[in-house]
Amino acid sequence: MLVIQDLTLHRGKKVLLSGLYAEFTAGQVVVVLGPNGAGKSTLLQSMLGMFTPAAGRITIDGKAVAECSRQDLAEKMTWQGDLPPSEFGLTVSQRLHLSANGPDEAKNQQAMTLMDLAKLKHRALDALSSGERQRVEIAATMVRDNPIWLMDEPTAHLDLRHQVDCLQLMKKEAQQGRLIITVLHDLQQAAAVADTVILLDGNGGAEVGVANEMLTPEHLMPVFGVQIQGEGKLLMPMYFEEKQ
Amino acid sequence: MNDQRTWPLLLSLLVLTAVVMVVSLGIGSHWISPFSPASELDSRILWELRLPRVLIAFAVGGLLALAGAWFQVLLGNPLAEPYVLGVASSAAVGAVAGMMLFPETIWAMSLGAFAGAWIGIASVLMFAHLGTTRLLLAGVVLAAFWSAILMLLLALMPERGVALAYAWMMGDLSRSDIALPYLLLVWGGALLAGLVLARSLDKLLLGEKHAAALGVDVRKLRFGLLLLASAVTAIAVTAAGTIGFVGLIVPHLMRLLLGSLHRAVLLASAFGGGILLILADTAARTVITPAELPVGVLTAMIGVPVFLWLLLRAR
Amino acid sequence: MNKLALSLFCVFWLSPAYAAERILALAPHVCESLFAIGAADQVVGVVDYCDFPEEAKSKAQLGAFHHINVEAALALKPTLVITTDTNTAAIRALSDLGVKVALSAPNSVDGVMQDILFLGALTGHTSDAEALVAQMQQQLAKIRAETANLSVPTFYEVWHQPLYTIGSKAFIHDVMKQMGMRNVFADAHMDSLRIPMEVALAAKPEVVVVPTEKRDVEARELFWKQWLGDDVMVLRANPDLMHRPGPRLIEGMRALLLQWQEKTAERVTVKAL
Repeated sequence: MLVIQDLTLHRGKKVLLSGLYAEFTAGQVVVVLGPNGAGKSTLLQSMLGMFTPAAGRITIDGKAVAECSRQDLAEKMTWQGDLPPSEFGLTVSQRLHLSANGPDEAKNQQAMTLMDLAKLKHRALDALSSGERQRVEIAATMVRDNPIWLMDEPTAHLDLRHQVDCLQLMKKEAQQGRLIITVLHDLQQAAAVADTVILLDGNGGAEVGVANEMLTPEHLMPVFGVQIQGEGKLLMPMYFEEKQ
Repeated sequence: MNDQRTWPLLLSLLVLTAVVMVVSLGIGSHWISPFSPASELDSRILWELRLPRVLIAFAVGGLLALAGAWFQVLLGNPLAEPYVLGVASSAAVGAVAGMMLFPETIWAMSLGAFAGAWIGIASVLMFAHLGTTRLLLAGVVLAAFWSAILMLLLALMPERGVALAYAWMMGDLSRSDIALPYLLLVWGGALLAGLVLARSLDKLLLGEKHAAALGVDVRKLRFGLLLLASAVTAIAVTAAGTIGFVGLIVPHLMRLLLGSLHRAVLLASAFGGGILLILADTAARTVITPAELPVGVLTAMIGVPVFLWLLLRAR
Repeated sequence: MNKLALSLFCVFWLSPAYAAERILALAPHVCESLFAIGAADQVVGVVDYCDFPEEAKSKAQLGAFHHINVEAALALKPTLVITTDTNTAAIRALSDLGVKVALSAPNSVDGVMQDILFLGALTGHTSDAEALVAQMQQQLAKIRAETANLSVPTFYEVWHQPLYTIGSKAFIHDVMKQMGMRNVFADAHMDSLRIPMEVALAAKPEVVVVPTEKRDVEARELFWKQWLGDDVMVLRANPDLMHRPGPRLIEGMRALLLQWQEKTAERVTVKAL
């Protein structure tokens, strides 16, 4: 469904990514991991055609992203990213309407119910907390019924309850046939949802593989430069040196 | 903010436009009933002096409000205005320069204003890719620059020119040489263009990345908007001089009443701006009778407190 | 205030014997008056629009009325500056450096006469000034006599776009009054005012005076006739004569009066036919 060939990304003189090959089929969650500044968000944006790669190409359903119009891309992929500005006083329901690709009120209601927003429907965005606004953004992703979701830190700002809701949603949507590519920072969360992992090392190197092979201390420690213990779905960074 | 309120509000705005127009037609040095003028002269005053003035005020007010709304989305800042960006000042520089270079040519001032506005836009455009804060800052600096140029030109002009240029700079809706049908057509065209772009403008409220992800060709839209907004500003300045703050007050009020979606905001602003400027001009030509105030003085007197209040409220 | 300053200067300068001054004449009327009373050789510097008589143009140019080049002015080693406004930075600078300052800003026809006498006293040309004023008074008396019983409502079109006229504090207000024209906006106690066209119409002027500068005077005449009827008399004033409170003022008044009388005569003839 989404094919990445020889993708090379530069930011200024820094090489973020060099010669990445990957192929993702529908129905899975792909988690992008890597240290700050490694180019995780940039990778998502290059898939959206919003960041021009230095080399290589990305194709979706056989068509190169670089040759698609913005409208075409917007009908294939939904992007969830930074909280949008709130100065102009958009309300929650207006925000959702702007994302929806059809006037499907039932879908909006469903998304709002799932993200606990029913009571906030007519509130302006600038009257909400960051966590509430993040839920609005996830609901906005839901109402845009596209085959690919690109989610940049969807669990940011959320409390534990809503983090769990969000991860469950991603898993469920992937099982129903969507391709979800998401940037996460929490190893537990990554382990919980990932089918596939892209690990960026911040120096141009990247590894792609099946989640349970990738999410091991041996793979992760050199990239993040911290001690990690545990195995399987229970990976923990070592916050302090163990005392004897 | 919900849609059930939108149409009744727009409809009442339409009715209000009609009422304000009729009442303003009646008010002047003496009351003339718009339906039955008492004499031949009253009838001529009504149709040849007051009506064109009311219509110019309506069209110019609407254009200024539309331009303001567009600039605000473009810059992602509800406090932006053609004034803040210096585009109105650069148009004024062009107009005064035209007036000076070809004092005997009627068109020199209009063409000068156009040229000035374009140069103003071009200078602002150079900063458009640097983000809102720097663009606004550049606008403020450019506005100061254009004001300085204006001062320079005025210092070079004969005494009377100074007084007159000042009068024109604060707005003059009494021009009899305006092609009124053309101006109303521009009003209609600008509103139509706004409505066509409304959905994309709404998406731009979410920021460039979100808008792009939602299928908007942001670069093209921004460029088109900047040209459109500035062309409209130039036409408004050419027709009536520089009148400030209509582009700030009106879209703001309409957003408060109707929410942020542009189909409603632009439609309401095109009429609301017209209403505001008709009212301001009616006051301007009657409050210190027999003399009249430049209409820009009145809009500034309303606009500056509103601007400061918004500035205090914004975090 | 102005009158006080004026009399102070009179007291100050009339007593001692006058040395020839080196004068900066900072207004066209000052320049004209000084030339008219034979003090031309004392004028060392002038400003924009000091274009009469022709020889005035050969004097050093210092810039615009209130924005003169102070350094260029000082280079002329002036001893006296004559200005219409003593409250400008340039004048203060000159005054601080020891240049004497005199005010010449007459605001009435009589004021013009007094001003010329004052300038005569300043420059040691008292008798020339007195002769000139006597001649002007004589011509003025004739004009007054010819228009003694008139008080014709008159509109003075300072500017047409936007429409500006004069109030009771304008110099022209008094000039018109001296020749039987009553300013229809005499109740506005200001120098000039911007007015809506319909207000001008409501004032029902019988005479409209249009200065012949920077506008299509033919078009203005047509315009006024369209609104006020063919009976309105549109007269053209030469701004160089009428707007300058100097020695050529009476000449300008006479020219305007002549125009008025000719048009009136024409009308009488037409009516008689």
